[in-house]
Amino acid sequence: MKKILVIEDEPEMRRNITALLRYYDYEPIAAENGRKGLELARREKPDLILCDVMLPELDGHGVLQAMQTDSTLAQTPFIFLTARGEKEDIRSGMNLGADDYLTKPVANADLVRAIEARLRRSEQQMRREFRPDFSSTVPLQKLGLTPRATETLLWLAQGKTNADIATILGITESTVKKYVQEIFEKLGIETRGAATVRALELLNAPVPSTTS
Amino acid sequence: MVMKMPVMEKSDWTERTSAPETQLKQTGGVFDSFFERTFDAVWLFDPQAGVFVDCNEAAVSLIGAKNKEQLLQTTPSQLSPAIQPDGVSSDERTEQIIALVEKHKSYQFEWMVRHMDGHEIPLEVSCTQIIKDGRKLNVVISRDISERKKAERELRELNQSLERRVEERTSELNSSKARFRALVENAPDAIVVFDGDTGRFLFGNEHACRLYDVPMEKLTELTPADVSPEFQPDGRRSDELVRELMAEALAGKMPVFEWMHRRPNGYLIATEVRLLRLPAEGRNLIRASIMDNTERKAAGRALRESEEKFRALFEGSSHGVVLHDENELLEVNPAAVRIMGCKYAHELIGKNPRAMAPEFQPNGENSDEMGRRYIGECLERGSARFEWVAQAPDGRHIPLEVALTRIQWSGREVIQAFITDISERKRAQEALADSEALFSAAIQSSPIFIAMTRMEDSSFVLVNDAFVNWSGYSREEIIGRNALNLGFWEDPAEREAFWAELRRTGFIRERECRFRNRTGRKSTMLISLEVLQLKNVPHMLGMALDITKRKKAEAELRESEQRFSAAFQASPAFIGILRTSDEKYVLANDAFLNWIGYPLEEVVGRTCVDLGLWENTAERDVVLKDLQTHGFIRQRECRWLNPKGERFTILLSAETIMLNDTPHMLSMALDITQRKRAEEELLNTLQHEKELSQLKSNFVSMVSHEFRTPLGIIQSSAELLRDFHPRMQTIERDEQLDSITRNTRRMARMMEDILVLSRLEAGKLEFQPATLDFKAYCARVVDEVSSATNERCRIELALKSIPPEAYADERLLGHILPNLLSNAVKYSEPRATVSLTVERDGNEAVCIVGDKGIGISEEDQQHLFKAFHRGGNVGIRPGTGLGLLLVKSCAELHGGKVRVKSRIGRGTTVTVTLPIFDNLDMGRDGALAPSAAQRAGK
Repeated sequence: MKKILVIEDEPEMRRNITALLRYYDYEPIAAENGRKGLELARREKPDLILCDVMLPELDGHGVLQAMQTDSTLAQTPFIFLTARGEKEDIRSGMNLGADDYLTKPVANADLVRAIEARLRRSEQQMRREFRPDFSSTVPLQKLGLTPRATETLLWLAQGKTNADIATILGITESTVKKYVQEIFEKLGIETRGAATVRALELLNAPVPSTTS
Repeated sequence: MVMKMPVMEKSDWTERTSAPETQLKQTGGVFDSFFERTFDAVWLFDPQAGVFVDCNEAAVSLIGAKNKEQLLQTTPSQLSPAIQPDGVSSDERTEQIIALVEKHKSYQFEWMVRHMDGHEIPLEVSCTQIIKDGRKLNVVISRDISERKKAERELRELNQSLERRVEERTSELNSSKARFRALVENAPDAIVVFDGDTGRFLFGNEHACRLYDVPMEKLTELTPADVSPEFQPDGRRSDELVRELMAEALAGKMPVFEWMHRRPNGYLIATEVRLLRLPAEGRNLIRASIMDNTERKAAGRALRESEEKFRALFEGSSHGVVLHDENELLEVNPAAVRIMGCKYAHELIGKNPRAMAPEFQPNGENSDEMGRRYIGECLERGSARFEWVAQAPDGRHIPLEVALTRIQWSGREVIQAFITDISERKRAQEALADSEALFSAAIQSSPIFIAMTRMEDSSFVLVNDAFVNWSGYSREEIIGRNALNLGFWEDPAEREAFWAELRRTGFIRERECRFRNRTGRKSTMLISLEVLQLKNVPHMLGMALDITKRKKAEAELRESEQRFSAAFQASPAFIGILRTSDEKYVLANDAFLNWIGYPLEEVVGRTCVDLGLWENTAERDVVLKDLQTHGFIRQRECRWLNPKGERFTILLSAETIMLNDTPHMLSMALDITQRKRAEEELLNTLQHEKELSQLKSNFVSMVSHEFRTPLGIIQSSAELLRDFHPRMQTIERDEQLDSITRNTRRMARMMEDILVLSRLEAGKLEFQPATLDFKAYCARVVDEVSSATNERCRIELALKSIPPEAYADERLLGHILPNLLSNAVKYSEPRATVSLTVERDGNEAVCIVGDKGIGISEEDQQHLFKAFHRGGNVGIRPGTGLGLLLVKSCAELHGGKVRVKSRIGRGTTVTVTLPIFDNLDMGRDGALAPSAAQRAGK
């Protein structure tokens, strides 16, 4: 059973998520603030961390940063739970290395799906050689796209929608569409899937040191 | 005794030189007076014209004319019979005489003239050539010899008859003697007869007696020597001379000589005497005719005097006088010697006049030829005048002006030359010519308008090019016309004033006048006018400077000064002008003076430091330095102080300007104190607004965040129930349902609170008090809360001396006490006690809600009344975090206050004071005084 760490200060929310995860045969462990969450993470080494952004004592960002510096936790999939008004935080969080974010209120099904996807990915990454490194756009630069388009490709390859990419990069969706168009034209392809494959080919590299 | 009377023949008086008379021409005035005063008839005859040009009174009476004029311009023939006694025509004779006079310079003759009434008069005439006023004239002195002629004739007749009757008629002799005597008596001459042997007078006529001043009887006792001084003027003894001359006469000669007679009173008389032997039988009789020479002598003396004068003049003249004839210089005066560059007269005398000159004269003519020409002219016409370059012995050229006159000198015709050294004059002439050329050039080329007009009619006689160019006329169109008819004067009144001044002062100096040229272009000019004489005709020389442009510039300057002045004064900015050298104010406008509160006199002459203008002198130093470096500063914010010490923020601009060639600073300051204040306020407001806006957005995000949470819970709970409800335990199911309910309610409450809060903030919530039974109200509240909290805690109510009536807004109260009580219950343990105590303090109700619950940490107490703040220890206890905020707001709207005391873990006491009671003393029965009703605004 996969261990999921839930860091959420709202008790009823915490109870519900925990119940939900249990129903879905995960092993949830919960913390009510960032500090406790970090302790728990270090101790329990969960398979995935679900973390609210607004937390007492150490907020989500702090938790994530702490995670990154810890080599044992750096690879752990990390999902932010955030309210709509924190888009700037999302961007910085994603750039820091969060794998995903979910906006509250999140439907149970969506939550579960996200968790599953992340876990599966992680597993795949562990098992196979295919271990694309999404931490940097450098490998994609040989495609000769403009920097912003390269960034767009990086997120696109991670399955992000245009809206998501817009949020992450802090630009408008129409601009994202332009970049996507640029990617299609440059790579001579027509679908996001094809773009993803091309990107992943380049991003697949021997396990790099991400402690940079 | 028979006296043989000699036949009186026409005497040829050629030898009679009448020396004094011929030399009279040299004595001018003396001659003139002689001319007028003599008893003889004197005429002036022009031989060339052949007419008499003048005559004296004696001549007039001789001819019997009415006046002199009748005789002028007459020829001799016109005054004479056609044929003269000797048979020659008067005309012919006249010609002859003229020629003779010309040849010999004098000539004596007899002439028959005709009296106006027709009778003829024989004249004895002496004619002498003179030069009078440069003309050759003949002086004609004529004496009526009719009597003499008559006498001669009669004597002749008598002689003849005597000769016939000589033998028998002694008595006839007597009578003829008597007749003779009578005749002789009447002869104008003094005649005496004396015995050639005895030397005694035999007879003398009236004239002679008068002459001698001796009576007839006495005369016969005397001899000529007796009526003469002992010595004659020439030094010889009179008696010797008498014997000599008598001997001559007896010998048949007819001596003519000058003789000095003496009257008995010693008075000397100069005479001229002619002796003639009278034919008489047996006796030597001599007749003497005697002419009083006194006048002639006087004339001679005068002549001599004038000769002396002449000599004196000759010698002393500053003009060079040279006497020369055709070939040599005869006499030179000292001035001439000097002029000719010589030292002694002998260097010149004897030289040929033409030798003292260069070969050629300036006009190219040969000197010799020219000299000859002029001398010839002089000899012919009597005078010549010319310029001549002579040469001094040292070779130096001497420009001379020469005036030649033909004169008689020592019996010869010579040339008298007046020479004047005109080197200076020549130099002056050249200089004048040069200066004239210069002047002319200056006039012509001058940019100033120069014109000369005739005084009498103001007509232009000369105008320079500048004038012509301005006028629009051609030179020809201007000359001869005057300014008025050329239309130059723009304003006739100005012309009048101009002439008035000219008349008054005689000149014009730099007078401004307005003129108009032909095309109508107007110019303002500065005119100066001077009166001068040109060839003795008064003219005016005028000079005018066109100052139109200058005037325009002046007007523009004045205008711009006025504009500046207006701008200066009217400007609301503080404008001052300071002298750069000493930073003292020279001028300040009203705005500045009003602000500083001093009059102009107290500002001028002081610096801004004196006036205490600058709050910070360092600021001033920087401003000054920048101004000096760049020449200007623009809109610098500075702080100034007025004399009251009030601070003003001003916007300062300054510029360096030149006034009277001295650098000054022009300072313009705009008082922006108000503006700054407004800006600050605005900034503050903006800041406040921003903060508020920030707060609001925080609030909104906080609200949305706050709603998200219960919504999230409701959603997840509902979904869990939906998805896993069969697998759920009942308890879990209930839990989930409770969550839903609770959170729904939570959201509802939050919404309520927010609505109230927003209404409060918008000012829409009004304090609407009404009378209230507070005691009952409190009881009610306790009940409600208990019920709402499911009697979780016991609520104790204590009311101390509460008046039955209060004046309060129940609605607002509804957000205060129930909230506090709910909180107290919520944050206490179940079955704990919560208390509500209400006391009265003056007009205030002091409500104390106390619990012994979880308390509020010190830190949380800081944020107690912040929206959505919830204590860190609230756990899962639901709450909007708005409660206390609401309590505070409502209490404040009610006019009350909220105070919180708490210790974490120990409990919390919230005290709310509300002024709901009346201030006045209550009656014993606790009834409120009427003013409570008043408070309601009734």
